[in-house]
Amino acid sequence: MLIGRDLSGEGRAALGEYLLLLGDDELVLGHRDSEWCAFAPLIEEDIAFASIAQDEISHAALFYELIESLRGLGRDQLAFGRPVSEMRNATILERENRDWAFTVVRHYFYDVADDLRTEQLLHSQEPILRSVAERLRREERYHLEHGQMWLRRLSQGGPEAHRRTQAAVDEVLQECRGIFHPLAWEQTLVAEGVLPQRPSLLCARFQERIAGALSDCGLKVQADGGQGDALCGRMGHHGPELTDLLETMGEVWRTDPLAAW
Amino acid sequence: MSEDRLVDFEARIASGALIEAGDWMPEEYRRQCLRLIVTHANSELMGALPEREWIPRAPGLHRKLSVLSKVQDEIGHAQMIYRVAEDLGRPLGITRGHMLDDLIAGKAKFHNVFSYPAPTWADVGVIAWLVDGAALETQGALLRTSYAPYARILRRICAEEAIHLKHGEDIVLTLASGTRAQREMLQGALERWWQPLLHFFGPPDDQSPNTERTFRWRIRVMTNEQLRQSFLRKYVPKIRALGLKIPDPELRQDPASGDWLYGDPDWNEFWRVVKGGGARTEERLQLRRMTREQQNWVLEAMAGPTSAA
Repeated sequence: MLIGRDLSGEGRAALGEYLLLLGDDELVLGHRDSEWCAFAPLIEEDIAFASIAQDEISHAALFYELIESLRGLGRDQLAFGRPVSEMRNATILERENRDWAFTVVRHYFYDVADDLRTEQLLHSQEPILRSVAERLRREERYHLEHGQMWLRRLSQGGPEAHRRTQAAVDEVLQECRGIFHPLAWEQTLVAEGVLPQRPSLLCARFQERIAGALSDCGLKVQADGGQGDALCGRMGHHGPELTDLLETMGEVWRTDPLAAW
Repeated sequence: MSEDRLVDFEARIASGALIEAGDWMPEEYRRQCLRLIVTHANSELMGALPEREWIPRAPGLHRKLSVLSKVQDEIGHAQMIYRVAEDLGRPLGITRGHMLDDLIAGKAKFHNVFSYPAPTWADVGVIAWLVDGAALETQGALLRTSYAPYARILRRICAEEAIHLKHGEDIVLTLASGTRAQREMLQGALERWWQPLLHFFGPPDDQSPNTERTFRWRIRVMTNEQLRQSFLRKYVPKIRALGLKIPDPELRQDPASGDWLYGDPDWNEFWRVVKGGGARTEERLQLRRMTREQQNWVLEAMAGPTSAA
């Protein structure tokens, strides 16, 4: 089954951009998740986070394979061979892990965003995207449950845990909106039936769901202060944390990109 | 009375019976099993660290996933084995918390082999192929241990270790058939790991602290040298078939017995590492201590709001 067979050239280009953004989000967060392996607060969480990381990295591989069939670039080339300015992940996902509260909150917010995004893919006119979305959603459901459980535990786990969790919410929420940054090619995807509506329009529902989850846990949404213009990862603008991540991730592969590893 | 019980216990073992957690056992049997099992659990947990350093740097998505999955398995093994140890330790008042405290305080043993650095990607392949291969020899023999809960958990662990071996073999084969730089990296890793691999099975039998009773009680069923020979018989030909050079000029097979004769692998170094003097022992324990310190607030939060003040 071929992807994007019935799309115009412009449509295929837009689809390539969207798949890249989806793959990069999953890869970068999966990498951060994998950094917990052996250093999580509990042995049980070393194991759980290693599973979540494997899911995210496999999803990235899946999106990159779809791009491969559109553009002919290999998946490892996509993951390891691009400069930072070509990465399309949202900047919140490249942030270093900080503490467990930051990790839990960021992951949960991303999982909610991803839930909305993959739900949208279920209504794509591209059959491959529908089946990919079904597979992803089966796995992501557990990530959401895991995140909800930890958010509740931490927010109700005494003053220090509550304080750290609220601090993480304050730090993360604003930047998470960058996941839904409006992009020029979105309209093309809608016009050609790849998506039922522009993904950036999901931001309002995202904020509603987050507000509901936070108030259930006794956590607050800060009045919309905003921290100035955050970097827009979707446009290839990233911070030094992503540069470091990519340097580490590609350290061995880049010594010989043509070799088999 | 306890004399009768001991006679009865030894008769059961001699008849091939297995001991369950709730069965009567001599305290010395319990302590010896506990020492063996806790050391195994500690080794799985500490053994995750050298390979874990390569998860962020694994070349290729497929490798990233397979190293991640392997390290996850090792930590999973630690978790399962600590549970078996906890059941054994309960009558002695020993919990998983105590075991982890002793480990990070440097008071408990873990396997020597996990005290060495893994400086290149080829080390990841050699560890997964040969160190896990060595572990599979030891653990495969322990499937016949008399302590039933341990034997049961080992069956699952050995099945997973066999998958790790394939993962390691695949990395090693890829490098061995790769570029010159890749082959040199692999040869370098083999040279680093050869001595620790000989050490892996413990000192020569006449210097081993394992008593005759350890074998009579079938806590262990094969001696250090038997295990080492079994490993050498399997792996020396495989390593040579890859075109790698084993760094031991004295290594040769005795045609009569089939045993491998090897040069002295510096047993002083072995004892130095046993006593906690390995190249990475302190650094890796320090990592575990730091993790514990930084994450302690999470454990307190889980204990509940009242005790977390």
